[in-house]
Amino acid sequence: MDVHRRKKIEIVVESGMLAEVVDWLVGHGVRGYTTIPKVSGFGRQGRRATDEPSGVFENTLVIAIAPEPVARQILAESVERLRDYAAIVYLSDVEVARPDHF
Amino acid sequence: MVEILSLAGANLLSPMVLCFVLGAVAAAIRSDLEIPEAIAKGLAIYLMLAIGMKGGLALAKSGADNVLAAFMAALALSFSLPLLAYGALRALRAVGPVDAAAVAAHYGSVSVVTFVTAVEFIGARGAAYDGVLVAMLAAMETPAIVTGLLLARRAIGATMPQVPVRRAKLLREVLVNGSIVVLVGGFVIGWAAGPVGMKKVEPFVVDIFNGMLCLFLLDMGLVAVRQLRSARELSPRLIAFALTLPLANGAIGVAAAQLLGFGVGSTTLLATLCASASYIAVPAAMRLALPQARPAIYVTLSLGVTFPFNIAVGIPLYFAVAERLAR
Repeated sequence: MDVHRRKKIEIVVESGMLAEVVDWLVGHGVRGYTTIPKVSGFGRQGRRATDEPSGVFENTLVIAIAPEPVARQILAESVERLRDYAAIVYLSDVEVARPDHF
Repeated sequence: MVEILSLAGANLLSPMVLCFVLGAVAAAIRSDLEIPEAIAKGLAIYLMLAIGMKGGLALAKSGADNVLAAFMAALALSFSLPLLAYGALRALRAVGPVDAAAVAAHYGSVSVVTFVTAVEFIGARGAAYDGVLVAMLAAMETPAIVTGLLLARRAIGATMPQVPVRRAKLLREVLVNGSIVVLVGGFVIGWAAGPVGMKKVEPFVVDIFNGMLCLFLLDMGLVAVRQLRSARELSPRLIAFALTLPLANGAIGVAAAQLLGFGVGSTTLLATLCASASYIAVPAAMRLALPQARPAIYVTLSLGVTFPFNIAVGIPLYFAVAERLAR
């Protein structure tokens, strides 16, 4: 079987910004994404939790797969775009079987 | 003074406040007690629908002679109250201008649960209130956000986020958020159905209301103390601000109520609205529109300090003042 190299983009972002983030990914031609809501943890912004009524301390994980140039562009833009929000953006290498999907 | 203290004491022994205390104690001793989120959300929807219906029914019974004046007063209060909060925070040198603007928006806006608790409080003491107060509650949620953002813009000018969040999304967030829709919807339903129609849902809207409020306040006690415990950014100055500003805002509310010719119950509720601070709608809006401000400060102050203060001490105090003025 042929495998094809792609980049996986993972973005942990405050839940209120999810709509902005997925619009931005789609604007770059990303053809699909997966979201995992209500993720919690700890980081630069302190405790991120899902047990508070306004939801401002809650994170969502967004996973997308894209060709390397697209992923690098997204990573570069994320610095300014998500500057003041709770967000972590990182890329990793993945292999896929169906290149036309990503 | 003695009278106020005895009233506050009696309030502390109400089942609703005791449930709030139970939640607070459970969180303080690190119990694993938890109200499932879906249930808490369901309870919130119930309380807002019921309080909306009660307000609409009260309006249907009393007629609407001063509705427009009251509504305009509510808008004016919400627009202007953040100015006092902002001035106080800057004078105290408690936080920078951006955090001060964000906190100020919370204190100009309102807390629905505090209002609901006050409705129960005056109801238990046989004081009636005007239905228009529910419309005032809805009117006071948003204008303060605008004032807070203007204060922030004046302070930081050009360093607003380079990628502004779409205005439409922000507007949707504040104008048609679920709580406002269900509250205003319930209000219209209560008003349209009138006394005859509302008889059909009386067991739901009236009889079980206080029990539901007990459960909800139990959860709020847990949430408030957990928020307070996770806070690392509160200075004594900020805590002093969150305990004293409600008194100043409450006094403004009492004065406005006098101008509007309100009775004891409505005066108590307007003072409560002015004294309360938002901890759901405004934080969500501030995160989108003013991400430089720290939620660890504004959520903790409004939810962890001012909310419990109003539930335990503020509401009976505003009621005592309203009663004194009515004599």
